[in-house]
Amino acid sequence: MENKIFEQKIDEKMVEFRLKPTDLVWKQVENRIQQKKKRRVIFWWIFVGMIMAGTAIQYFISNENEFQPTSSKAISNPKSNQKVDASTENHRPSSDTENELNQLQQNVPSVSETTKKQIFQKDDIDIERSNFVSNEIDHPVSSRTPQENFINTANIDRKMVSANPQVVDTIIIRECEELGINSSAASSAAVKKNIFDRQWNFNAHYSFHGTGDLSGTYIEFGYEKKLGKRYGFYNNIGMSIHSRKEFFSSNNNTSQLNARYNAMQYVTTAIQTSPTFYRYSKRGDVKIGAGMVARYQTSSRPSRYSISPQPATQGIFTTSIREMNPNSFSLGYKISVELHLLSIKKTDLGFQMFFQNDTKGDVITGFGLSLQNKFKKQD
Amino acid sequence: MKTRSCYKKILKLIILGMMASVLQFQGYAQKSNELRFPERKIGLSIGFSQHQKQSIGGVFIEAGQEMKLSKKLLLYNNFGFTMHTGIDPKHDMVVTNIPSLRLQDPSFSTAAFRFVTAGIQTSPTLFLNLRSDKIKLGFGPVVRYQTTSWPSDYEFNLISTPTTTRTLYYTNYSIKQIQPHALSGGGRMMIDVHVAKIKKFEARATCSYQVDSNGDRLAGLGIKLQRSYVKLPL
Repeated sequence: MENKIFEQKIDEKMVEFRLKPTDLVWKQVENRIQQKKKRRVIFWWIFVGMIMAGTAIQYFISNENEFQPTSSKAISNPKSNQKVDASTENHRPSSDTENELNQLQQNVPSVSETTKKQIFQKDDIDIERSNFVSNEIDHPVSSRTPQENFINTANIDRKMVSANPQVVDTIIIRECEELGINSSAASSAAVKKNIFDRQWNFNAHYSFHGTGDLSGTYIEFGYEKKLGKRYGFYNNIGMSIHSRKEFFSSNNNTSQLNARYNAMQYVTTAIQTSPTFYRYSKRGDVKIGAGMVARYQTSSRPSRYSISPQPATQGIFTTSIREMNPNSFSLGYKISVELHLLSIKKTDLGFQMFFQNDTKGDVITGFGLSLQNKFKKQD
Repeated sequence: MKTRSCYKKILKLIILGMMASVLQFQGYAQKSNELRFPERKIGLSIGFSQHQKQSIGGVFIEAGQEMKLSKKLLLYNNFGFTMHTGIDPKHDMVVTNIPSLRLQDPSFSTAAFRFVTAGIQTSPTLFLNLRSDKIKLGFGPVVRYQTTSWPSDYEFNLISTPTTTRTLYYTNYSIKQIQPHALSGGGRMMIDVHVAKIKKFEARATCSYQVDSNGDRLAGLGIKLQRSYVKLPL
């Protein structure tokens, strides 16, 4: 009988608890609801819009100056950058042109005679050959076979060699510069950089899931390939771990002996891939990337749940889980910016920031370090 | 007592093996300073994994680089990620018939708590080539960081509250003990078996078992895709 009375009393007290939660609880609930409403979705969209607009502007501005000289020497002396027209092949250059060529030769004294001889011994042979060829090609174009009409740049060079040896020298100097044999340190470094057109990346970030709701890490392995001088394609596989303790923390100082109460821990982890196109700055120290994201996520965070104080003990909260949606697959986009910090041999270190959003509504942001190991494709 | 002596023997063998490998490594280092161990492989492993302590399944992903130290010995450096997930078994044991409860209390809704455990780890492993590269046997230490929602001690309750008109039901969890973050050290054993090879690409079946100081035991079974290359001097 006593037990039954005791149970009835407990039931009555529980009903009281359910119907009349304390003011403190209601305040906390209200705060949470307000926090959810305050999610800065608009802010993020503005942020994304600004980044995309910035990228687009940069793209259009840089397109206007798309043609880049091959070396620093060429920048300082634009005359040397003039392309030799195939139409001049069998004509003696005018006196003005001759003067220009002489000036060019004088302006480029850095290529020693020995170097020229070493490198262009083959060209000497070509000169002899081309003399022979030039005698043959003195016929009008119409009398040639279709195969002969096919323009081959190699043939054009030979003809020019036979026409005027001075022009040959000019061409030799230009090629020397392109090869980086006698160019400045900066251009040779650039050439060296271009040799390693691929790299392995390892990125480690401190990241946030949502607008700071859950924090954790994002780790990524990737393979990047340069497409031309200013573009790159980066394919990767990344893993993210985010966790958070429930806001309503239980109080460990309970009156019950040998009892410890803790708050629930929410863990969200995901695997994702984000093929990204990069655009490098002119100096190569900043790159901006944009790409799509395919993400598989699993989470222990319930999609609908409630927290209530435990009836028997003060300061202890229990969690009632109403609905779970643990696994999801989503698509989205990712924008990243990387700043180059330092290079040691073939290894680069950079600072990276990223922002991503997907169809599930998950916003993930992060910043961290990127370790890159450059290499050249081996046959 | 027998098992203890057996453990001691295994430990001695591991220590001797590691010392031998270190000596061999130094020997090579003295031979040529410019190009040490040029034969390398880079690869990605993906597979299923079982978290035996928490009795939950999941996947593992690992990226690693393999260096050939000698004809029989390889060093495999890697960085891995594990993801395990499972539902709370207590929930389904207690709440056996949800439709009948809903008949009495239409507002009743409940779901089992999801346990999610994610870990990042690295385990430099020394591989021994057996049967001319067909089978590789590896041992190595593990350093692992893990975060989990799995409570080591918790209560799940189904509470009924009779009212004048009907009986109300609700469920709740109270977490008593949880260690959400853990950094632990341990050991790992791996077996790699050759499956196929096309030019520089190789596929291997990989099987691993690891134990760490947090009491976590992880078993993995998967596939490893590798690409061999020769490291060139600068």
